[in-house]
Amino acid sequence: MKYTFEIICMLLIVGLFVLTQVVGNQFYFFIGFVILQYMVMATAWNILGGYGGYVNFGSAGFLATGAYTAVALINFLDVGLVEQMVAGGIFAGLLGLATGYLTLRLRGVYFAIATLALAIILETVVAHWDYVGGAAGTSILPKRKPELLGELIVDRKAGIFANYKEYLFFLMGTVAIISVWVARYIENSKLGRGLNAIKDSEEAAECMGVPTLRLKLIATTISGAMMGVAGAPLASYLTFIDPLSAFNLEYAINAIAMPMIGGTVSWAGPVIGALLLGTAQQVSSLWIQSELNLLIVGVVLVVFVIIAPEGIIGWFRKSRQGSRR
Amino acid sequence: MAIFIDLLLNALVIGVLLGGFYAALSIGLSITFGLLDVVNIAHPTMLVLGAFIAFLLNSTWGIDPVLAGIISTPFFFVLGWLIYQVYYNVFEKSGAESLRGLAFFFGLLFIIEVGLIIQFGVDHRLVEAPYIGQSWNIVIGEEIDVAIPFRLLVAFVVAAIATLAIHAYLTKTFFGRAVRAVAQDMMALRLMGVDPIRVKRIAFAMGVATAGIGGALMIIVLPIEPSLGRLYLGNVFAIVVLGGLGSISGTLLAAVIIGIAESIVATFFGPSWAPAVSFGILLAVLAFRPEGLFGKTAGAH
Amino acid sequence: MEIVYEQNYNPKTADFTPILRAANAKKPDAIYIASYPNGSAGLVRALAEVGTDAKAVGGGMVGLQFAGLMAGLGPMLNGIANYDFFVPEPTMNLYPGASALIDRYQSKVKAENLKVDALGYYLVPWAYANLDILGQAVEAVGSLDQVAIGKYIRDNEFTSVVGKIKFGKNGEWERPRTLVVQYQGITNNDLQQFATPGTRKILLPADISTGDIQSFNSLRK
Repeated sequence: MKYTFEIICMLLIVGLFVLTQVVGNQFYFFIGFVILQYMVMATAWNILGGYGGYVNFGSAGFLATGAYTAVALINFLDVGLVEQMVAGGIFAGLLGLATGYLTLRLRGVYFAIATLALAIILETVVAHWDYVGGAAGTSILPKRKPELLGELIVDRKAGIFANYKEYLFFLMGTVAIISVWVARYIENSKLGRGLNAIKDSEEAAECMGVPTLRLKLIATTISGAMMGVAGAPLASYLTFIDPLSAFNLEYAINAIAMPMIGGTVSWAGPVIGALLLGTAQQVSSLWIQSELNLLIVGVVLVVFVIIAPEGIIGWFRKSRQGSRR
Repeated sequence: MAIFIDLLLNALVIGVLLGGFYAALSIGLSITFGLLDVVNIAHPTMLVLGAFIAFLLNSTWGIDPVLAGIISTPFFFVLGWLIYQVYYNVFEKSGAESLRGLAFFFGLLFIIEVGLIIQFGVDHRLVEAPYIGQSWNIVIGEEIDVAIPFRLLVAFVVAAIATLAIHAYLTKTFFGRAVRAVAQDMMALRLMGVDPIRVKRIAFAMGVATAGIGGALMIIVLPIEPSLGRLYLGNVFAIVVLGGLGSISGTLLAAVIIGIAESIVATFFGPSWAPAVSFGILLAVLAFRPEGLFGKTAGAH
Repeated sequence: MEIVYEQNYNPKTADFTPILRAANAKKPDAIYIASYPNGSAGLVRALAEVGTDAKAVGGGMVGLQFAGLMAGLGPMLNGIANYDFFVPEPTMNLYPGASALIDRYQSKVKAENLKVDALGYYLVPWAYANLDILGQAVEAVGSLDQVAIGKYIRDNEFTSVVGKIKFGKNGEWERPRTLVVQYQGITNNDLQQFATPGTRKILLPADISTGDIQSFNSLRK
């Protein structure tokens, strides 16, 4: 069937909604949100990094752009979460476009370092922007009884969701599913094939008439926008935000590590990587020791790049081919 | 006016000293990344490891931190040797894409960091040495005097000696020229009967070995904790790229430029703008002159 | 009060002497510092290297309460007035159970070689009191109903290892119990001197103070 994937996506969104209504323990939504947020980050990173071969080290900068757009909007207009996410996506997308323009001549490691530098400059600027809390950070209290299209969304008794964690979880889950759909669409489209050509050899791609410049700009914009959407609810989730937590290098690292572990060639890679690594980190930091989640990222990453260079997906493909022979 | 001259002079002096310190942090990366094209993103964390070793030697036996750094340097040489062995066999030999090598060092970064946390905890650590907390005051004129903190002076002198020694070694000796040749033409080296892999292995080990002395200088200059390396990640890469890949003297110059820029900005505009200025310089250089300020080869490759 | 110099710094600042020089150039009477551990240590060192004519220095410097930094900085701390939560001064014994808790903590850290703060004055009593109050509230309410627990905590006064605690309208303590202490008489880098009274005299709150504030330079040699 032509739309099988889309139907599965819709079913998953419905499934997420059912989960929020059935599961009573907020704690699961609390950690589920983080894993889903990482899924969006990994998927977004992979569009540029996995398909196009451009390694973004500054993912945290895009996430923080979304988060701080949301904070500014809350302070300025007191808008709801969905609007914050849309705005966060727009601003981070514009940042992505600007990054693309600024780094047109840069390849490989130079591009990676430029994105890192960009994130650091942004962090410094935000640290001086007192309207959003400056270096000291700011507390965000989510709206008491938020409404969307006339419906009461979060309320202990009358709302669609009994509390904010459920709402945030559902929103992030929906975003994650849409991101994965977009990534899959890109992968099978002209854009994806063009990016792949750029990854193999930018000169050759150009000679063959691939509009490398335009494709790169589209990819940086889409990737940045997704990260911004993922970052926008961060302030509401943490109820406090400061530059150090929003620009944390861990976001950048996980956004790279998760696709690498899952496999960068396909949309399923970042999803698998985020599920595995994200869950492992949450479990280890909550039940064993908080430092261990970083150790897990480190060890898993090293082991995977050594024994499974194409990630889990590549590993499966290879073993399947092997058994066929 | 006297106050302005006083501040400016001090900012310049501190900037140069700070630059020397930054050079000590970056020089190893200038070898591994600049010359050998191995993106050792774990380098700053290796420096922190070196700092903790200096701390351990200093707090247990009272060994001077600089001496402690010299003592730990062979250990880092061996570590670098082993890492390159793995790196070469897994990634370089198979011509694997650089992304995987990058991820490998990323993982290494976290393994070292968490290892330090498990061993030492997350507390900040300092070392004791008679020159820390002391300074040398030079009176120049009325209301103008320059104060040189000894800890920065020690860092600068040691860094300068190490950097110049490495520079001399790489330009004057046969092996040094071989290292530089490896970056340009592996085939030619093979034809000359030199094993390029061996050359790269030793050069990489040298680059990592600088983490011993560099780490010791780090803990002399500032308090350290396991995740400090991440803060300096941007700085050291900025300096190496700014100086031009493969140029040791360029790295030293770039480090001094960043040091002076930071201390001038900190003195006259507010310290919190300092990183934005140095990374702004980097971004501008990358956008308009990707080969770096002093590099000769084109950066976009 | 006139503010002559106000600046932020970045967490990766390696050297703080330019900042202190710029501040000194404005000839301040007092220097208020709000800093995190890196900056606290860096500024304390800069104060030792550059010096200052300000009469009072300190304020909200996070990190100077940590055992590792106190021992590392040693005599450079003399004269600084800073906030703290708990120090081994005699008047702190007013709080029941505090010294027993500290003793238990310190011997556990030593016996099990834990990689945590060796002294534990700064956060241990407050963290203990934090959970103690929650525990008392849960027992009094008799269930895990969050709303009821919250109401009980807001409405009642508690006694724990940091004294009597009653919360005010804004959620803070009704009577603040944060200490202001001044470092003095520190002669070397030995950690154990910080486990005895005298190195951190309590200036505020007045009812438990153990010393009066002295000018910054009078406490430095």
